[in-house]
Amino acid sequence: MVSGAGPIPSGRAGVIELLRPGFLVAGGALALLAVGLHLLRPRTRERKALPTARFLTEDPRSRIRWHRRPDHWSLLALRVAFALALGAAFAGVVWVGPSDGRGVVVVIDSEAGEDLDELRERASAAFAEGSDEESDGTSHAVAVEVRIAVPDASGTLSLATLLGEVREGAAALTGVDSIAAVIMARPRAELWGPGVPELRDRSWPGRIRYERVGPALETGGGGEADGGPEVEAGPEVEAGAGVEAGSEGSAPSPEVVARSEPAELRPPTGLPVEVGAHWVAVWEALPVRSRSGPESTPGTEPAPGPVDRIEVELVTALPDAWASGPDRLWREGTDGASDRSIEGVGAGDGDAPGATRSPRQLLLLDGRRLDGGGEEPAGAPAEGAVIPLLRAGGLPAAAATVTGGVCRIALAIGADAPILAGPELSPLLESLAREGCGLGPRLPAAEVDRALAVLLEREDLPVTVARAELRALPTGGVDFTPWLLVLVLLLAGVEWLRTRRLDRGRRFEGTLTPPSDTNPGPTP
Amino acid sequence: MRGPDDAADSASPAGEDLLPPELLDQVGDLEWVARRVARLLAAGAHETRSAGRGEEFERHQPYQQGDDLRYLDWKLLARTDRLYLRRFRERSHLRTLFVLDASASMAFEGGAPVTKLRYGVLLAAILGHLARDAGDAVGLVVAGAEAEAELPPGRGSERWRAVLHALQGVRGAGGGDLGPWLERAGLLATPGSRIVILSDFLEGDDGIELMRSVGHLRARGDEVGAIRILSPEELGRSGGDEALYTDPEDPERLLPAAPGRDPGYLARLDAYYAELSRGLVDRGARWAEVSSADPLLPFLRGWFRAPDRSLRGARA
Repeated sequence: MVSGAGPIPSGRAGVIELLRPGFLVAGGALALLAVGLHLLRPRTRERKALPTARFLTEDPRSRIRWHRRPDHWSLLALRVAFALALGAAFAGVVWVGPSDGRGVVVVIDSEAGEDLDELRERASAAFAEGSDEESDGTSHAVAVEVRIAVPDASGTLSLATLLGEVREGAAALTGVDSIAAVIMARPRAELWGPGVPELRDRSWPGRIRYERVGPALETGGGGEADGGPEVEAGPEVEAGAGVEAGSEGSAPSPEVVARSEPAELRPPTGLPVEVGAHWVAVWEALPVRSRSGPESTPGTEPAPGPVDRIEVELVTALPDAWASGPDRLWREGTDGASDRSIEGVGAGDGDAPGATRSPRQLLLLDGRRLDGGGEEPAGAPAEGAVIPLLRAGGLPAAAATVTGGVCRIALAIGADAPILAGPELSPLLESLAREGCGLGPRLPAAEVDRALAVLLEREDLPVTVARAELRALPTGGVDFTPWLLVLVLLLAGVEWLRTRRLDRGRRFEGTLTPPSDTNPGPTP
Repeated sequence: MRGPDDAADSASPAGEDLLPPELLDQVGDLEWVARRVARLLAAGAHETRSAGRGEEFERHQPYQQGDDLRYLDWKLLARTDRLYLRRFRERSHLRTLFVLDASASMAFEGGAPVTKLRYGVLLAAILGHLARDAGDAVGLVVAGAEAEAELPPGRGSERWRAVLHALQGVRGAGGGDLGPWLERAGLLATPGSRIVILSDFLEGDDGIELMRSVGHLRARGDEVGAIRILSPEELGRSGGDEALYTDPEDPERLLPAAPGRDPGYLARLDAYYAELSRGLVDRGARWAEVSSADPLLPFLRGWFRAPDRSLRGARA
């Protein structure tokens, strides 16, 4: 799945680079250690005869002493060269020939959008037409390699698959001095939650730099995604879309809008999970009209709904106030496991004035809405009611609240809320929209699906997850590693022979050295 | 051009350093060295000579006021009408046996120009010459691994030449204690002999056997003199650098040490020799110490001037 390798104009001259410079530093440290060992050597003592040696006591000074100058220069040079060569061999010394700029590998999740061909074309065009502005002001055109990563039969897109595509794409790029990998995928908990650190530490023949890519949204109300798929993100991670309720004609028409300012449902500071993938959801307004419902009969004044706008936000963690109130809304049932057998749920703060429900409701995954009495209440949620939606196990996955005619739905994303990445996302949002926001039948399932599609992955470049810049060895370069390994072996052999010869010489000298000052006697 | 004779003749008590041991060592003729040094010793000891006693007439000496008239030669006075005294050579009839330690430890220079063994050879030759000149029978026992000389005391030039030849060829090697050699010397010399031991007295058993042998010799009437010869390095006067030290008689044992920085070295050395010398003196032996770097004449003069005049019989 290769497409769109762009032209490669001339770039920088050939250079020697280190793929893993830390090993060269380690080799240098090893060389310094060798120098130190050559400076630190046994105290040399002359062998002398003394008939009264019986009255001597052993010198308590250390038998090892520092010397200012190392001994055996040739051997030291061999060992230093060996250490440096060893470090260089593992450091991956490569000569990168004259390059023409940076290449980009774009890996697109096959489930990222409906029209993969269009996605591919747009991605290729977005990167190929752009230029990579270097810090020195020079501009290098990039070559773009777009690949499609296909999940396996179980719908899982593994890191191995993803990186395999990145590698193949990198190998297909020639004549570039660096490669940037852009991964575009729908949010997958198995990939972007705990998988991001794994991806970060993944072995790769090059330097990997991750950039946090934020939403490409610039103004509220949506619009063309002209900002490009990669925008530096701030510390906040949520993006959002809105579903404005309405109907054809005078009826309020639900409309998907993008949020341009931090949501009120901003997660608390100190995010529990750092998500390297950020949601880029909406580019254009998408009118969604309700299909049916007693309040949306054509020609009649629709009954004002409890809400006229739905804003959906993605957060890494639900605010505590949304997840659970001061009262425990849910507890284990008598069977201890099922979230359906709720009995005696606390009533919370009581019903708001004029409201038909308790301000705190409990919405189950199957759509049932429970209040403190365990009964399924009817009617619209009260003003300010917070309706958490719990997944199995009691952990909050989403919540909805209605304030001033706007129903805000927060969807938790991250390792703590894997449910959002699964097939439950669509019914979850639908449940929240229908029940939590009180739209009821005014917002049919199809519209919810469409809004969700707009929100998540169905249009344009839905998600720019991560961008990794790989300093891989481009085709045409020279890898000195094999030569360095041969040099290491050669140096090790010479060093061994030299050391052996030196030891033999020492032993031989030891056999020859007589005690000094021993006079054989007077000469006749 | 001055030769060895000139140097020897010009030596005086004030300039005794002109006869250092290295100079004497360079003179190949050991007998000449012994004779010259003995002559110098005789010149220095002139006032101590006891003229007149003895059995063998030596010469006439003009009478001077104060001389003993008992030795006046009345016959010569009658014939010549001049006063002459009769001088006689004193006959000691002693037997002097030198026991020279020729172990490996004696073949050690240690900062001296000559080895301890060579110093002992010079001492033995000089003392032997003096003893022979006094009429003693002179013998030699070389105590060493390569001992080739066991010469019982004897008079006559032939024996003396044999002693000198043995001294000239002695070499230091091996080890061992002096006790057995003293026993051997006791067999070679009849009771009442004079036995002079020249050694460093580094005994393996701290001198126990040596003192027992000396006690035996003294018990049968022998005179025993012990001259300890040590080098300057052994005495801590030179050297003392850090090195791997080994005993020449036990070369397998190496000890990293620095005698110059070992404050207990000299203390242990002195304690050893103090104990040994006390044991020998208590048994009636005479003890003297000399460095192999010292000139010979001062030591010999001190030897003869010592209160114990047991060796004074070797007079010129």
